Amino acid sequence: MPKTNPKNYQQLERQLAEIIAWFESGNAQVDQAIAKYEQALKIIAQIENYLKTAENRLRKINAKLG
Amino acid sequence: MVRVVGAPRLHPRYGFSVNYQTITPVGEGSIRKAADLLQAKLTAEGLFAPERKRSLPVTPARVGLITAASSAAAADFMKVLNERWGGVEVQLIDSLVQGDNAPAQLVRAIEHFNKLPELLEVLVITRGGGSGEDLAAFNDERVVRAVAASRIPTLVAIGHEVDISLAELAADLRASTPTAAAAALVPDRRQVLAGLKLQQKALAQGVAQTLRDARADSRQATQIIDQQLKYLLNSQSEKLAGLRRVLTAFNPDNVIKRGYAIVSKNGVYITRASAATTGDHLQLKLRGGTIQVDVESVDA
Repeated sequence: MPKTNPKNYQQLERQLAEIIAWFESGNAQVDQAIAKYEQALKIIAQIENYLKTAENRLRKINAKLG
Repeated sequence: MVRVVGAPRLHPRYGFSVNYQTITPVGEGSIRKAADLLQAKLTAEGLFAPERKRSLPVTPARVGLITAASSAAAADFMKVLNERWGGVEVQLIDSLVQGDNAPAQLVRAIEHFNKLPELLEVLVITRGGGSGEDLAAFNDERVVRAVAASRIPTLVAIGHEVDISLAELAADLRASTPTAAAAALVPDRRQVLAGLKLQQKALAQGVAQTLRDARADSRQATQIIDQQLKYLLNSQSEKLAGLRRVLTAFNPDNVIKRGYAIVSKNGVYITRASAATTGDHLQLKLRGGTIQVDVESVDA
């Protein structure tokens, strides 16, 4: 069974983008910065894992084409 | 030049005739001309207008593919897709991509995908290169209209470089070959991985900057507190110096130094002449020591 988790990548990418935007906003709070950074590193590791292991799945549809 | 499909007859009186079923242009020139006329008509309808184009998702997870399943086009598309990206569910409808029945099949395949309760994210319609006649299905009005009407954003790639088919013009995005279609559909995981490294670096810089800013803020606060403390200490020590001056002025030793004497009787200071009487024994404290005196008389 190939490893596929279609929604996973888009969700991870969105989460990462939110954290980067938080740092870029200029309002980053020092007490949250380390936690956010560690969270981002975890997401990056998950994305890397996804990109290295996820496989595409081809499914033939039986449509009546006449 | 046209191709007529029908039943020929030879009548003894009226001669040769054909009951035609279809008349289609054949030969490069005729096909091109028919396509040009259709293009003008559909352009006037706005089918190819740039404002109709929708953008495709950057990383689609569910994709429809319409092509000949056993073709090199299908294999090339999947090969490049697998090289570049993962996690995509590709639903394939095997359709004719050339010949008289191709337009009807292509239209039904497009409609099938558009009738699914949960729409896919992108619809890819592709085939490899061929002659103008081979590719005629993609200039068929029915196919072009079906592509334009698709609720799912479309990516059409017909393998030829010179002429662009009308189906491609109607698509939201076109690519030149099945391989190029896969490349246009998904990002390259190697580039994304490289981008992640940059993002990681930017994040590390972001957190470092946040910490530096916080440290600078606390340093500034410390400086302010230091200044306040110094000011407080300075003003207190000035006050103390003033008090010291006052106390020094009152110091009896200093008074004595200026030529005065302190008079005491039996160990008690006396400050009035009337406190002494004739015959008293008094002590006069002066600079350098004490003088014992007997009172001869008092004028008070």
